[in-house]
Amino acid sequence: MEISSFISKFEESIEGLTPGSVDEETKFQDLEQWDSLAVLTTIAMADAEFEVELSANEILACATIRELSELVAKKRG
Amino acid sequence: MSDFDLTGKTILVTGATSGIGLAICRAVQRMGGGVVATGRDRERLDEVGRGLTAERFRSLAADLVEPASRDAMAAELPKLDGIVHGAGALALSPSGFLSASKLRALEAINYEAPVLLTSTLVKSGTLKPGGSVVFITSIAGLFGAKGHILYSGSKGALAAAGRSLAIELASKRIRVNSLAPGMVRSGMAGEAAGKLGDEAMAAHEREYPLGFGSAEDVAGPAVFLVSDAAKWITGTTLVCDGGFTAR
Ligand SMILES: NC(=O)c1ccc[n+]([C@@H]2O[C@H](COP(=O)([O-])OP(=O)(O)OC[C@H]3O[C@@H](n4cnc5c(N)ncnc54)[C@H](OP(=O)(O)O)[C@@H]3O)[C@@H](O)[C@H]2O)c1
Repeated sequence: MEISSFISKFEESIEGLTPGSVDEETKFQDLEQWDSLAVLTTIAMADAEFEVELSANEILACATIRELSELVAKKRG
Repeated sequence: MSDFDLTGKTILVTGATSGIGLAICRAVQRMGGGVVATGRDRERLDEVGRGLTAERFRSLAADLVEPASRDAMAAELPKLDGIVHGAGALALSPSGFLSASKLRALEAINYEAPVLLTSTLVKSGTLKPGGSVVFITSIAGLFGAKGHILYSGSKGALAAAGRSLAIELASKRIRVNSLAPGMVRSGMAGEAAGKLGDEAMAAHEREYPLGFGSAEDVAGPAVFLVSDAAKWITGTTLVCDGGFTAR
């Protein structure tokens, strides 16, 4: 899994994010668009696009987009 | 004898193997009633039985979304004075990630199963005239919440069907009501926590004047609705949410 493909899926799914607004170092929990629905959306996106089951606590334990992407990649095996 | 007493009454409880359904089985027995418990898992049903008075307990395993299994269970039932439909499932998904299969799977257990099982048991006369039907819905069926589209739809549909059933079955003095809990610490709350995170759940609980509920907190109102104390109540929804939606 390329980190770039994870970033584009993340940008596509979170309401209000535009392409190019996020990079590997983005602290996604500080984004203005980040809220409880964004957590649910990230879970649903990881399931639909990468067939990975994430929990909210796992997502919230990540600081950057890179960490989140690595978590998905690791769970994908 | 008090109108609240259930002595001599037999109540079918679906979703009896966990959380709210299990607490309702215990409460029915505490009020003197007999329980027929159902769920998919034979072992879990036996475990439920070990915690209850054997003479007033029976269990039948069935998968309520499989028509053949549901009908086979229905055919085995004794005459009933009440049915509490506790079986249900949760799905949390934002609007952009819905699918026909997720929608149908949730409708199957939360809407189709309780409505069709009620129909079967009324038609066969298994549910006696004067009986009481309680659907465990949710405040999500009455109020909106992010990510709850499918769940709200299934619970709102069930409550709406219940109102029409109440009108139609009034000629048999059968009452049909919904009981709409807020967040209850149980199997399903654990699932919600998995998708919302511990911090968000703690923040959510602070919005509950009386805090989150326990399964027992829902069992009392359910027992009330099946009892004769509620004999003039039909076609309505009793909200049971620690004051969450009162604000
Ligand atoms: N907990 C809450 O915060 C909350 C809030 C509002 C409303 N509710 C509603 O209250 C009810 C009970 O919730 P809960 O938290 O106690 O749920 P739970 O612990 O997840 O238990 C669900 C029950 O449904 C049964 N079930 C599920 N699918 C079934 C199927 N296909 N056939 C037969 N039985 C099936 C399960 O039995 P087996 O797995 O043994 O088959 C289990 O006994 C649900 O309708 C739920 O929507 C819950």
